[in-house]
Amino acid sequence: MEKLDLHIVQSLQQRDKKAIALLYDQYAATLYGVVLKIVRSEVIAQDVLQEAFVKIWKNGPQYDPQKGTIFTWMLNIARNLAIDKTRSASFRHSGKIQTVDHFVSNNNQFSDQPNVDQIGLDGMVNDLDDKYRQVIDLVYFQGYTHKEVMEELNLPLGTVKSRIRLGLQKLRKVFGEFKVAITIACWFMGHFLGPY
Amino acid sequence: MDKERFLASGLLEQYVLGLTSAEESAEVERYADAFPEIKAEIEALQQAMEQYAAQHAIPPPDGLKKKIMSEIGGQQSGVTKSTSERSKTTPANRNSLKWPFLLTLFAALMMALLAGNLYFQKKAVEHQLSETATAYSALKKACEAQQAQQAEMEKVYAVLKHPQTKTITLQGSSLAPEATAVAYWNESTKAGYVNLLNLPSPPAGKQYQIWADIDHKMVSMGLLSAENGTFQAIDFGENATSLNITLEPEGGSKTPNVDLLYVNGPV
Repeated sequence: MEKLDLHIVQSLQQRDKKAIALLYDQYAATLYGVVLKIVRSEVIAQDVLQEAFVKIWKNGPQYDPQKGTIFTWMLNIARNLAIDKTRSASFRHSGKIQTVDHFVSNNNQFSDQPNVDQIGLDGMVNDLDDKYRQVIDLVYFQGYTHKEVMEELNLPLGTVKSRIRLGLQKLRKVFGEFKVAITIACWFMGHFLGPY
Repeated sequence: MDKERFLASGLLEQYVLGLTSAEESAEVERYADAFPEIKAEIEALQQAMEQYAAQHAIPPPDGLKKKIMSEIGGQQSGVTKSTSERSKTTPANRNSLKWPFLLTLFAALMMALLAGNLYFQKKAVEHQLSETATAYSALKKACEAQQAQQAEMEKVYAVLKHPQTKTITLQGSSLAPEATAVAYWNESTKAGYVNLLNLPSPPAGKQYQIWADIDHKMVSMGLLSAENGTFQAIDFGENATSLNITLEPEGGSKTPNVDLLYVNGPV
């Protein structure tokens, strides 16, 4: 685990409110992006994010670093709250339910301005085939179960599982290579630019 | 299940996406405890997903953090300060992704430069190498020619300095009164050379041929090049009494054309 995360986790478990401020700075934008994908309304997404951070604060002592990163844990909380929202009666009536196709093909429709964060990796992740992206996005961002993915995409279970495995391995490779590139860049900077 | 099969089973990926049942999760965690590679794999997958999620990051509206901070605790004093300090640098997330990108770009650029440089260096070296090889082979040829010439000269010199070598002067006939030739004739080593001096260049299709008078019969001692001033090896004829050079059709004749006798002299 990264040092920053470790520090945050300790603060969180010691009931230090700074932990929430730090977690917010570090992860709010990512969580907001995911929640927005699920609830598709900025107003509802803000409510969900607020509830999520309150829950993170309350459940902090229960987080077990052995079982995964703090982000994964936070994402689960935020995602479950968001999914609960979409399944509530009031949400259904508001006509926010949309099809997968729409979801998949409009990844960035919520951001008004170009998202600077994405410049670096977008090209690489765009290499991920839509067929993998679709399954991963449904599961990871929308909290779909195997069965729901099968029904939504009309695919047999074996295909869903193999797409999850291959898709994740591809993502891992993309980000792994990216890390190597950064390492090399840093090495270059260290060696050639160091003296100046 | 062994470690490799477990890694390849797809269960880890399902686990990272939260798709495993309680029992499956427990099994994955048991394996992760037992094998560091499996634990590392899970962490790598989680990080990849985290970065993937970070790709879709959208900054929430400005006021939201304050709202959350005030909801989780009445006493804000210590916290607000760090909150406002932090919010100035809210695009931390942005920069953390932008910087690696710039660094990657930089690294890629450096590597491209390096690769380009190496490529041109290689080209230059290859060019130099082929030039050197050409120069070397030309030099080698020249050297071999030089050696052959020198060997020839040594042979001539050996004949010339030999005590038994006779020098025979062949005088021009009425056809070419100015012409002379010098022959070197050695009975003991059976070697003959001739050096033409002042013989006119033969017309096209014609060539000089040298003959020895042996028992009153003209015997060919060889064809000559028309070049004046070079030592030309000729055959040696036993008991020759004279040497004669005639002009013959190119390729030589069996018997000399005595009408076209240019130079001759007694042995």
